[in-house]
Amino acid sequence: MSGPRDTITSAVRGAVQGVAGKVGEVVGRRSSGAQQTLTVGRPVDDVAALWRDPAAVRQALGDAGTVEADGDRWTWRLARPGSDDPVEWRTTLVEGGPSTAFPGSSVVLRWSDPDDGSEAASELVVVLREAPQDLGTEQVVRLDLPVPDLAAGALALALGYRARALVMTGEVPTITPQPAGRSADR
Amino acid sequence: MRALVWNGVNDLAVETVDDPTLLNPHDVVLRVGLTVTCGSDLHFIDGYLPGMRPGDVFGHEFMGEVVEVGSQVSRTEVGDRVTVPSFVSCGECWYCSRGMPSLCDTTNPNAALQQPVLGYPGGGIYGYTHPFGGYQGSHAEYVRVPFGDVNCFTVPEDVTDVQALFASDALATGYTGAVFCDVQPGDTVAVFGAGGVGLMAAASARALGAGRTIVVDRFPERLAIARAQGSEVLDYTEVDSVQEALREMTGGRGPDSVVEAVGMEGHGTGVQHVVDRAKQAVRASTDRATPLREAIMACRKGGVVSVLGVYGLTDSFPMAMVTNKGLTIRSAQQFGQTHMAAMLEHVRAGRIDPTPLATHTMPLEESVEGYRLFKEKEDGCVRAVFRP
Ligand SMILES: NC(=O)c1ccc[n+]([C@@H]2O[C@H](COP(=O)([O-])OP(=O)(O)OC[C@H]3O[C@@H](n4cnc5c(N)ncnc54)[C@H](O)[C@@H]3O)[C@@H](O)[C@H]2O)c1
Ligand SMILES: [Zn+2]
Ligand SMILES: [Zn+2]
Repeated sequence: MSGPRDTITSAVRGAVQGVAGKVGEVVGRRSSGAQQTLTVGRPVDDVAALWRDPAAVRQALGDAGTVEADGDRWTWRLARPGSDDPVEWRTTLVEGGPSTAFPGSSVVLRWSDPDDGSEAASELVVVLREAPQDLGTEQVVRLDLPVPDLAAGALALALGYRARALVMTGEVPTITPQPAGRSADR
Repeated sequence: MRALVWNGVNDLAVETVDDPTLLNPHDVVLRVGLTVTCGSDLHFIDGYLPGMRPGDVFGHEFMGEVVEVGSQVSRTEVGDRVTVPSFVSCGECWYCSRGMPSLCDTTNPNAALQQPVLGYPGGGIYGYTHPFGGYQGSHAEYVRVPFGDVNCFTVPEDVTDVQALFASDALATGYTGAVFCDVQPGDTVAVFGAGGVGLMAAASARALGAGRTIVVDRFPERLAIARAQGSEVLDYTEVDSVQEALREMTGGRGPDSVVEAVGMEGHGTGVQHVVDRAKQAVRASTDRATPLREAIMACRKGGVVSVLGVYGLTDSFPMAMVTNKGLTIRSAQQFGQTHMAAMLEHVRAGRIDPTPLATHTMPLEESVEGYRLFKEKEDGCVRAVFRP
């Protein structure tokens, strides 16, 4: 039997397989979550605005998938390995202010499926807090998804990195649809 | 368009590939005027550096003419004759705004591939291995340049295409390495390696005030270029010990700083070298680090060792010498954008001239042979320049 969690797992695996596969180690122990923190040289408000904007998040997702929002309901379509059909992940965005779970945070954004009450429910959490020395914002991206550490870490980094690039420069670094040369399978 | 592609270890070919297009609003597309071999390419051509994929267009040292600009490009215009440093800078991040463009925090599309290795991913580079971004390279008729306003530098009229070409990488790297030496007027700077990078490091050190530069290599034609540009030279195959020779040449003090411009395929002599070669042959180690160790041994106490050569996970690193001699080690991938204005000014004033590096110029269609000449250092080849 494959439940929604398995489907999401497989979708996220698909989304990150490009990256994690290249790193060369997709199997590994399951992680309870991957976290990647990056400092973004812009105020918390600017970074928060990006994460609240579905179009911007869609850009940050890149080849990992896409997302549409209707109010606080965000529907993610994540790329799946070996299939043209993406898998759907329906979430609700819940925004919180300073949280005791994340000391020093000023904004916490959490996407999860409100109907999945299980302890192991999948979620994406973005925590923003002011960085010291006027360095801007410390942006924590946490993926609580049952994928191997490395794969989840790679997706969390890719997402956070692209979001930072978008806030800092107005674009996401890309080589798609133009890889270094012809594609390897040609 | 036609382009030189990497199909596997020591397997290159000129093929037809898709033309690049504008992908992002700050992009520009150049028609490549000149593009050139670099010692860094040898590392993946020879298979010592992983991360290339069959069909990759490579090359990262180039100049050309702007033919297309993205919607957010404001200063760069179609028709501009420009030179472009090898690393992609965004001009906005913490590193780019502090003069360290190759450490850019935003321009590596494959940052997640590089983080496991470096901890903190660096910037993207054209036509190199995928952990460095996977951007299409310059050995082609056209190349896409991200952040055109940050990375394209208009070439002054009195600077030639060939000079502008080398400002992209060989000079940019040598200059970066010379700046690391913190040259004081009259200093003596030794340079290991008389390839394009080493020759430009020596010329830059003199432009920055060095009184003496001593270039170490074994190829007479390369040493001849160094001599013609004002350096003293040392053929390391003619001395028992480079370190002793340099000490004797400097009144027993040693060079104030030493630039290492050789890299992981360095050639050497002696027992340690035999061990290094054996390890490299069975891929137990990627490096033959003889010149790096010699640079550390040769530098005077309290001096700077500026490492430009590219290494992997070097073992047998003589840390005791670094500590006991109070050395400072500096290294980076070049900071071309930071130094471009100064470099072009030195070139215009005739204090630095990269022209002699272009020993061979040929059509792109002949670039496979160009790489062979360059790699084997045949026919006095210092750099093979391609005209697409
Ligand atoms: N840091 C950067 O940004 C950057 C940029 C460009 C190139 N590089 C690196 O710089 C190095 C040199 O590049 P290049 O294009 O000049 O290469 P090259 O291959 O043309 O030149 C290397 C030279 O080193 C000489 N050499 C070999 N063993 C030696 C030894 N034991 N002592 C003294 N000289 C020795 C060779 O004879 C050759 O002339 C490479 O490792 C390259 O990857 C770094
Ligand atoms: Zn180079
Ligand atoms: Zn940058």
